[in-house]
Amino acid sequence: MFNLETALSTWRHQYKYSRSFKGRDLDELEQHLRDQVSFLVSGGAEEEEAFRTAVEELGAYHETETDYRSVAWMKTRDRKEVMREISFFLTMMANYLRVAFRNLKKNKVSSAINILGLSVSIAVALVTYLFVSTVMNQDAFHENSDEIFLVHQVTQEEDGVMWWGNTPMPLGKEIVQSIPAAERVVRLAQSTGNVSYGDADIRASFRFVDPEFMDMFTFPLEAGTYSALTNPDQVILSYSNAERFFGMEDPLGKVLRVRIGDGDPAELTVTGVTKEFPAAADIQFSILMGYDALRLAGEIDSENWATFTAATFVQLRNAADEALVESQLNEAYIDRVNAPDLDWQVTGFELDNLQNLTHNSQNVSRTISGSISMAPVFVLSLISGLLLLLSCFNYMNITIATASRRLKEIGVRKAVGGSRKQLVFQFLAENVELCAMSLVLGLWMAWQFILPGFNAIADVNFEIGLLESWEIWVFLIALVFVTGLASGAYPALYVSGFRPTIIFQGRERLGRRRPLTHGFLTFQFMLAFMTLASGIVLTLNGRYHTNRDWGYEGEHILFFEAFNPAELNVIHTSALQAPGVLDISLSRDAVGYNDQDVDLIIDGKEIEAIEFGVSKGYASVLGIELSAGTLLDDETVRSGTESILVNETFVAEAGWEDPVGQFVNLDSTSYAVAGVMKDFHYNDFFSIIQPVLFKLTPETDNRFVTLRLQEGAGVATSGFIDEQLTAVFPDKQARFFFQDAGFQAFYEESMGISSIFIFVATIALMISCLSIYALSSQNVVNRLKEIGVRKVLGGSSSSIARLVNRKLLIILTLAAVLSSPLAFIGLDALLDDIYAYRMPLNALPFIITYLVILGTTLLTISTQVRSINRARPADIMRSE
Amino acid sequence: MVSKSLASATMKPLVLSMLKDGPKYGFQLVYRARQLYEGQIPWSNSKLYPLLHKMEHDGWVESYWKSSDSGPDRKYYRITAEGEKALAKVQSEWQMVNAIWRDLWGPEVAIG
Repeated sequence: MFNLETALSTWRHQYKYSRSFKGRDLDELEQHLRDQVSFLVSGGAEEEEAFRTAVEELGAYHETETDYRSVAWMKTRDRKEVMREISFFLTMMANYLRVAFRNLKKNKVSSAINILGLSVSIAVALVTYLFVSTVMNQDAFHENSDEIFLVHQVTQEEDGVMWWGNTPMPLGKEIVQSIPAAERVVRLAQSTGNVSYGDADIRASFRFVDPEFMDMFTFPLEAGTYSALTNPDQVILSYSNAERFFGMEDPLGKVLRVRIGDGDPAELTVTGVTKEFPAAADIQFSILMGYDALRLAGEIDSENWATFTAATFVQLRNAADEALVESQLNEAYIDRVNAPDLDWQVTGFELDNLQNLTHNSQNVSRTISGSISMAPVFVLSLISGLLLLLSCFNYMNITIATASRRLKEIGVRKAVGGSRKQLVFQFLAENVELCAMSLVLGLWMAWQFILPGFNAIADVNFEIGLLESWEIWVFLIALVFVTGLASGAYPALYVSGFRPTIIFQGRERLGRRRPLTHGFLTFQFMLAFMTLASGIVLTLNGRYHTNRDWGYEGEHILFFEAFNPAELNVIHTSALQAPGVLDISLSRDAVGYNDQDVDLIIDGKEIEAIEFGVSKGYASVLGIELSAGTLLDDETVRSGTESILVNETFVAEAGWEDPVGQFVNLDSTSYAVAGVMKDFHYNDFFSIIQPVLFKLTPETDNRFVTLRLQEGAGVATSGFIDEQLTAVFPDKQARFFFQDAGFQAFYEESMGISSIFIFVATIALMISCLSIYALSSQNVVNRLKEIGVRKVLGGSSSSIARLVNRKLLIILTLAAVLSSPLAFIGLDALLDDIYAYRMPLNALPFIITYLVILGTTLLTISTQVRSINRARPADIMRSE
Repeated sequence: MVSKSLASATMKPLVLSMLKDGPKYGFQLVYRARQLYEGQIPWSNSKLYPLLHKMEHDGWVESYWKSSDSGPDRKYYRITAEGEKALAKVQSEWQMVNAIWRDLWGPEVAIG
């Protein structure tokens, strides 16, 4: 029986909680309906029909609500209820968060799984952000970085344009005097030398700069002053070097004994120590001195345009004047640079901003800037993005899979008037809250584990720096919201779409057809497969390198470094008497330790090569084999002809068919090729073998004594020589290295790279297993009746578990098939990018990967055996 | 039937014109509009009240409550002096437009 008052009350109830209706708006609307009903009834209509017509003509809820919302804020201001609205909004937010927290507590297992997966991904994302922002902002911390440029010389070579980081020494002063757009200029020179303090005696690098350096660059001091830049008997130490030399002692005022380059010994006082360099500092120094102190390294003609300095920095008054200054340099100085040496002809000058140096330095010769490959930036960003995606998919899968537990909750919420929008908001709030918790846990994980691990592997020193950088807060907050919304949107829409009537009638079935869930899981497996395959490939590649021939003897080779001829003489003499020594040679350079870049002319063609200055017998001490000719032995020395040994790459570069007896021009001297060495890895497997030559050097240039030892003689021999050295020089300790220590350093770096991938793969696999666990649990719940029947018919729990989760195993195999070719192509390119010499790829790593993931999946699924074991068929049938 | 956008443009001057005849409540405005339009102009009841509230905010109308025989009180609206000025302005605009249509299309299809 229709009752108008009841109908009006029910109609009014749906508008009751909308914030768009203010004050007595609903009274006005209700009266409108009453007036229209009265009018229609007076025209002969039935009251119920009149009511329905009136409501229909007024408009549906969402239409009316939308129209009223358009003026709601205006009315709020007119009624001076702004604070009340804000308070209501905050109360509503607090309520959402409270309910969200309650729901997370109620579903502890799935919440924990989601939080764990997200936390790890957030921690990895944070470390990736630190790495990428550091790499992309090298040297950006200098206050004047936008205006600081490095001057490059440009030459035209046979194979194209070349850029050079070094510049003529007089150029800097000329720029200051003649180019108004240049605010200041700083020249930088560098050298190496020996530094002694107390018992410590080490090899160090020195940089010499003009006094304007402290104004141009931002290197704040920990202690002291920059007076060293105008006093040639003073030095400034970097923070790490001050610790290295003096430990906990105050370094200021201490005197260091040095011998720099070819110069005479000198005593220098420490008058300044810098603060620790930030991770983004590419331009750094160990020991800093004034430019005038460069004479300590030997006589230098600084007014000669044929004398080069390592770098000339220009700070412009306005960065936009870059092109102008370049053209002024070209106009004024090309001829002066080219005049002294007809073999060295520049075609122009270019300026490169300080912040771009590391990105461009691969194209620049003789540059002081380090080189950054964008490959790690790209790879890490990709990994981080994929892990976040994995976590989002994990959340979506788990939320959808466990949605059946919340059917009644959703039904009740909708029945008492909750709109779909409110439900979506509720679920999104839960997700954002979960992401916020994950953020806190992720920050802790990054601080405690992931960042220290990354710093150790990459040999860097990143810090999270929450108090120093506002950008990182923006990144973290954006990460939480984007991840929360991205992962929560689909589940929120899916779950909020359930219909209350169907739920309460028990007809809502969360079907087994979940194409999107299966799609997400397939993608998760693909990611896990590709990352694990990467880790396995890199590990196998590491093993390949361990077995690869370096081209010379690494084991049982010991070499000593001497800092002066007297020391060298003592070491050499001792070595001749030492036990276990099979062969000895002296050299200026040592393979795997140092070498020189040289330019040669061969038949008018210029090639770059790596030169090792050696004495006779060095190649045979190292066990380097020849493919043609003879070693640099006594015969070669007696013949009076300047002779060299070259490697096979050198021969190929020179284009010789018959290399022995060919001539090369080096530093205006002609050398004959005495023999051809088989190619050997003088560096590591990252770099391709370049043309190499061994050249006999004067005895006075020798610094290294290289010994071939009997097996097991290393400790005794090194101890003997060290004793002999200390007997003559009481304050000296022998500085020696085993040749294969260099191999070990390379293997460790290589394993570091594969460790990163194994770590990422472990996380990806773990997150995927979390999804599998949730989905397989849900599978068991959904198919309880079937399980009950199968148990009654005698099925074993393990066979039932496999059957119930057969689809998961199919998805895994599909993912492996889809991702194998992608992984193969990607890894092939990755190996080529990292290593010049690497193992050929085959199917084995991918088979191993599939078996590992399959085994892990089966193990995860087997946890359901327990729940199937516990399921009693009688109880199941009764409930179903 | 005219388009919704044109109907929307006529609502404000129509409501002000009806209120010029004397204070009215919501349903009276709807009923009068139906009589005038004869179903030719789509009228949205749900848009009427927000329009009245907006005009009240702008000072063109003012409202007061009077008790009714059944249910809640009724809200009446009457035009203010500001509203009459606004109506006069709208009228002159429509008349200007009307003159243009008359020139273009001739007197047969011009309004009024």
